[in-house]
Amino acid sequence: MSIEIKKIKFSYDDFDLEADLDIDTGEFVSILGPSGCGKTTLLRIIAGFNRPESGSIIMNGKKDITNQPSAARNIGMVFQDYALFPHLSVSRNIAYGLEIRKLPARVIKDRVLELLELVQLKGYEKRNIHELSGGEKQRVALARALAPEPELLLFDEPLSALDLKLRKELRREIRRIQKNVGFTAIYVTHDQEEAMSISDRIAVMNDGRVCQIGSPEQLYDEPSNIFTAGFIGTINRITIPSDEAGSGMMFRPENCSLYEEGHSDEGDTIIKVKAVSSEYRGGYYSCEAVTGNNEIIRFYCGKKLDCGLSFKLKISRLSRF
Amino acid sequence: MLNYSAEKILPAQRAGGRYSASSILFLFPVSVLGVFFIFPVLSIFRNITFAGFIDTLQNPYYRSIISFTFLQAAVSTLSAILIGLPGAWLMSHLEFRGKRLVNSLTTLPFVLPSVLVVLGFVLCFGNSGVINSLLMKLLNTDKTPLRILYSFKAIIMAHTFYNFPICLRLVSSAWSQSGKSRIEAAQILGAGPVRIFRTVTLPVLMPAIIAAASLIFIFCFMSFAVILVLGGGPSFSTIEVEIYRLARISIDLEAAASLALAGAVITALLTYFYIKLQKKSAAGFSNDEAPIALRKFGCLSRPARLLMLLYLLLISLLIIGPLLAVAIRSFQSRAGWSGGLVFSLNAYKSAFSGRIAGSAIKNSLIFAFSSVLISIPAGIIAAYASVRKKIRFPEFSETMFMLPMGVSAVVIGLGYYSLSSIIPSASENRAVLIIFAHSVIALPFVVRTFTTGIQRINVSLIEASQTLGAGFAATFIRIELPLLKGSIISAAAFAFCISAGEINAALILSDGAIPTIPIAIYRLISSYNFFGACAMGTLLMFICGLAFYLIDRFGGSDIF
Amino acid sequence: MKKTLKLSLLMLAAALIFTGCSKNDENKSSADAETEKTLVIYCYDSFASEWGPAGAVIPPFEEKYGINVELKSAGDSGQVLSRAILEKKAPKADIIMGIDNNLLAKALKEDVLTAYKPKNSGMIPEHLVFDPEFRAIPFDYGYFAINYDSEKITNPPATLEDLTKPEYKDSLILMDPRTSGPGLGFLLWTISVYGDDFPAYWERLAPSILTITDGWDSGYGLYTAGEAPMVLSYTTSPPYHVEYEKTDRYKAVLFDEGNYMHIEAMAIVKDAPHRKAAEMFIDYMLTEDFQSAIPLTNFMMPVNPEIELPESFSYAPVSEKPLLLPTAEIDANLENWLQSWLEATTK
Repeated sequence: MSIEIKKIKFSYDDFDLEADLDIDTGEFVSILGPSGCGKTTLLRIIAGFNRPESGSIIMNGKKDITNQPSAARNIGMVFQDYALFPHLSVSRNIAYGLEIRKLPARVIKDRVLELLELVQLKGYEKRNIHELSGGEKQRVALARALAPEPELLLFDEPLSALDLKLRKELRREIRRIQKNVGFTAIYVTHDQEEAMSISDRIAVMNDGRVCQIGSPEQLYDEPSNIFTAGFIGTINRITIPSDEAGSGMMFRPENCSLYEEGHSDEGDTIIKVKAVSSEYRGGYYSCEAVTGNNEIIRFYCGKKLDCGLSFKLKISRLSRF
Repeated sequence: MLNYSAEKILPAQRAGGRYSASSILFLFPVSVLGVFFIFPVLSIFRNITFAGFIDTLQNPYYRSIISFTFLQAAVSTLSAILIGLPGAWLMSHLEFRGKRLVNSLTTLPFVLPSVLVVLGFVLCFGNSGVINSLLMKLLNTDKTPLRILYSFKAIIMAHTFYNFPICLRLVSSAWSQSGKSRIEAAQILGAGPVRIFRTVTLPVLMPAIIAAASLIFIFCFMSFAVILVLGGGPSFSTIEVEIYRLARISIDLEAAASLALAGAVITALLTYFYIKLQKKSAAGFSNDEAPIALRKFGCLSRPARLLMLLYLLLISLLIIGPLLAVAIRSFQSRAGWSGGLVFSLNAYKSAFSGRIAGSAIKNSLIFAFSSVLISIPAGIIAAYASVRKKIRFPEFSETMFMLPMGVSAVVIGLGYYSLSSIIPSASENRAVLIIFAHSVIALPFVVRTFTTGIQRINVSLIEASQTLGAGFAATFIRIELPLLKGSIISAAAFAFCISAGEINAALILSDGAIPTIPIAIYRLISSYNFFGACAMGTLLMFICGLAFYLIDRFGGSDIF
Repeated sequence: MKKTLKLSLLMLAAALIFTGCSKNDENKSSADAETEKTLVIYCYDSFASEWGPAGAVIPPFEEKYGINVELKSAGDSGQVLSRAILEKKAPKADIIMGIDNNLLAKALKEDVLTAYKPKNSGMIPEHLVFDPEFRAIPFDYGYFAINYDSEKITNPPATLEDLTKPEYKDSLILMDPRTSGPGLGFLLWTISVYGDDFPAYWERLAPSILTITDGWDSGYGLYTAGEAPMVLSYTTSPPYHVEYEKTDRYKAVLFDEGNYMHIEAMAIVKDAPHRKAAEMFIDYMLTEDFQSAIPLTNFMMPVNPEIELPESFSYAPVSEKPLLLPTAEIDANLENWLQSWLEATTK
């Protein structure tokens, strides 16, 4: 299912949200941004929990669902706090959406078993929700959301309550299942690594606006604005006095290295810096150096640089902002 | 940190398309309140003139009475909460034999007419009561060893006895759902038990505690017989005493209404403040964590066990003592010309030989069950509308539903005459009137119970259900109602007791033609038959105790 | 909320229309001759109770006169009067019951009563007729008296002053005059004996008082439960224990200063819908059929002196010195008296 979010406007207290977003069928799109940027609000508007003041949400290019109640939208959702029904067993939780649709008991039973297998929880049917670990709960929540076969699945920071290892494991799982089943997914997160690893495209949001949408590579390599650049990965910002415009420039740490005489290409920029610190990160050092303008530069280096050492840095991809 | 606060969903709910449907539903509790409370009360309040009202407020005597009313209610509330909290812990954390029985017993003080409560108290704790008689024998003295009654502390004690079950019920249901992982997390972080209670448990319990405190406060604010008799005389007078005097002895209805209005305004303001406070502390916690595992009594450490036993002994003495004293009295009669007491069933014979007993029992049961059936849905709707902000001024609405407790019973009684005079006097009409009036009287308890219950339901559960295709009704029936099971049982117990013990509305609205058990008790007493009254009271306690036991028992398993 | 408000207003309007309808219905029916066969009496609750006089006195009246009596018990006697006052503009009751010397002034002030001198009024002893204009017609009476438990008190007090003796410390249960008829009666008793010095008496009395209860119910209950050996009640209380419990343990004493009276009266409501039937009932009230039921159901003395009292009433002493303050004096001073009483008792 494709979904178009057209000129959605929503305000609450002194916060206002304005967003446009197009998502293709089968696409996995993350909405990434700092807390308070409006990403969850946008998701809740899509889910039908919040009603926008203006704008529309179009499904599959034709169906306007802006004013439909969420129950009628056939959109699944996975919540940050799992939102499993505590008074129902694992299988009754998964069966819930199917029971609402009044499917025959046999069909429901088969579907529940199939889903449990999909989320690797075979044999958990009779379990009580309270007996599950966090990871297991989120698997059940995923199975439950998938049960009515929604064409669009919304994820609201589903992994943020889990530990790092489990988070990595589960996001791979989610991506695998999404590819298998083929639903469209919108995934809200504030974790850029998570967004990068799981998504086809990422929408970066800040202060109620979508700053940029693109593949992880695009956003990283060609950020269209300073916020995106700063939020995804690390950037260094410098001003180069010799530059005609005299304005600020930026570059990624991995695009700069120690300058060795004769090893520079056309377009490389070379600047003089003084080492401030180097920390060993296993296999490489994460270093900080300071320019003549007192601007800090972060970069990676194969050897330890003593504090106070003066040297030259070669920057290969410098861009203006 | 994991949860949506209530604010987040606010805009959606206001703009939502279900607005009109929910306001039609909301009409049910509003019209019940309007016809059976607001209309009768306004029919009396309209006698008030502004000048008269101001006079009342400026009268220094009334002012001192208002401030004493305030003081005793505040102290009583504090005491009832403090006594109730350990009980709430006990009921929510421990599994022990007789737990259901204890649970059923706790609401019983509500069903007894205040005359019998006072009598039970005196029989138990009085200067010639059971405790003092035992001590006198033990110490071999003629002087009263423990002068408990006829003092300020006796008022507090009786109010505690009457009211701590409210705290126990509301808080224990919150506590049993407070979630153990939070506490475990705090333990891992190295917090001691006191610190855990203060920083982790207390905030979770706060809404329930505030809800209980507001109910208890108003109850004590309106207290009457207990204060006069057990306080020992006019030095301890409350607003209600003065209203009674003005309405029934001086027959100055305007002054009575003015004073009642002043009391109602005070309780309304306080209630409003309580509700605001509760909203603040209710934001953001859920009930979908693992429930606290019930421990066996034996698992406790020795001092803890001792402490708990001591507590159980204290509350049994406090609750069961007076009730038991009434029950024992019912099995006694005078023997011989000297009038000594012997065991006998005469009281039962005299109380139940007449025509009234059978119909009184039948009527009381019908009224109590019907009031449960009306007040529970009305209460759920009213609580739901305000917690989920389906209406514009939720705090105002909640305050209004608390007011049936906050307006003087004497004045409401006068108002019932107006209500009664507009309804044709067929006895079926009268019965319906009484049932609705009882439901309204129970509403403050029911609404409060459901408010805390609904606040504990995690909003994302409802949203999850909606995204899975369930509409408003299906979500309510399949998700919210089962999660409210504990609240429904508590609310039903309160509503049942309040109706079963109510006398004012039943007497006035029926013109005395539809007897109930409390009316029979009242009439037995006015014809000197105190033993018969105790017999009737014992039967009332037995019926209600049995009803709660059954509700608890079957409600405890899955009824949905 | 706006919608809700509108709808609620609609409901209220509907209720009012309903009210209007039902009123019209009654007006229509009151024109019928049939309604002269009805009589509406507001009585205090214990009168209507199964153990009260109603069962013995109402059915014979209905049978004899072919009038259907609607007995509405409107709470205590204060509530009975309040209800009549609230319905002043469109009276529904024909007779209100339980008007006493203290309530009469209020009733007259509100102008809710009308006079009727019963045919047989001559037989009411003169000292019981507290309203010479017969707006309130007495039907029974009694004397307030200190009752005592003879198992605990061997030397009962003989005067009000005796009650202040140290031997009676914490021995007396009284009722609050602000909330109880007997309580008010006792206050007036002390006023008729001590006059303006009554607050000083109450101050002397204070040590003897165990507690002051809200009503006669809890006070008498505490007394029979053994909490205190003396209580304020009536001279006619001991007959109950003799009659139904076969004990003379509980006794009433007459005081040398006299005992204050409690006279209960009925009154015909002004503009009563069924005036004729009401008059018939008042006449009937003084006949033997009615009067002879009073002693053992209401535990009061019938006003008809010819009624033979049951044997147990030999335990109800009859005062030689009945006390009663005039209605007008009570009405003029009651608020001040209560205030002085409060000051004396809360000192």
